[in-house]
Amino acid sequence: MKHAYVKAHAKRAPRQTRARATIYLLAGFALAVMVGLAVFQVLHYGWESFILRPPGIGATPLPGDD
Amino acid sequence: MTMYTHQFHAAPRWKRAVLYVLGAFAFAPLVFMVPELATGNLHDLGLSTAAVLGVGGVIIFMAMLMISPLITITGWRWIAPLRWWYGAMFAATVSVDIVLTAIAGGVHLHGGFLSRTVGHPFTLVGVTATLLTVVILTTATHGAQRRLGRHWRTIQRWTYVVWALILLHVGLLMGLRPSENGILFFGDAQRFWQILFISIPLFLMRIPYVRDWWRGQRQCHGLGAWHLWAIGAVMLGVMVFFWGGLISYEIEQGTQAFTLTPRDE
Repeated sequence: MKHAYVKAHAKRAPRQTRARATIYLLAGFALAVMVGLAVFQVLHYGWESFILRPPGIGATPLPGDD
Repeated sequence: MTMYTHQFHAAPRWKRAVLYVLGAFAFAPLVFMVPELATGNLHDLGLSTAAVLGVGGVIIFMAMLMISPLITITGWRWIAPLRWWYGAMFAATVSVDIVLTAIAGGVHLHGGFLSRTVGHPFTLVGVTATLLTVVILTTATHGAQRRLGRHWRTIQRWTYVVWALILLHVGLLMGLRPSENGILFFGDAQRFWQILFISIPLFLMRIPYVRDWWRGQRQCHGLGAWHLWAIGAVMLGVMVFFWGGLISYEIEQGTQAFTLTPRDE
């Protein structure tokens, strides 16, 4: 006869795996949408516009700044 | 506190008061932005958002990462509720940062909504880190812990991915070269190096061997463990200089935002 804990675990484990799969699916979908939109930006505005930091952002100075 | 409620309620009143005070500091970046949000000056918001909410978010994230090493160093398990709280406030701060950047980031980030959110590598990495943070936060509950079982810890460990993405985001934004104030400067220094230096002790204290060794030495020698005091003093120095420097910069930028006099730096 199986112990009660083993039986309960046998029921819980697939549910937990499904819960994990749902989270992975949602997060993966959101990441894929973001990457897709970034690819769209590259195709639409070009690689240089994507890869270069605009002036005044981070370490890139504004024109005229030292 | 959604998680660690048992530790929180089991703590004496003065410890809970300390947690409330330390937890309240996490509101600071959002509070700094209230006057600009209330006046709706998009130009000022565009100037302040990254400096106040972006840097503020990193400060809160690093505070969250400090909790586990502090528990290892001191044995104070009662500070564990702050780990969840700082994580939640980090998610809130950076989410507002992204929304405001998308709306008002046009001061320097030209283009539309997409350009400001996924239009550059540093924005794409930043938004990815925020998205993962939201997933981590929504699963940081007892209910999710029960539903996910042994998988829960794996998802919570995405925090380390977020940590790496924050470093990448700031590295892409600030570059690797020293800024005009250099690297070893208290305050407005090169933020990538500041965050990297803060990360070193936090990473070292997470290595299982180091963590177990420290715990063993503390339990063996107690307060007489002079070598632990010496290593702790070095780590405290690193934190005060670099994390304190970030906080100093945050206070400067936050005060400017709060008094509606942001500067374009």
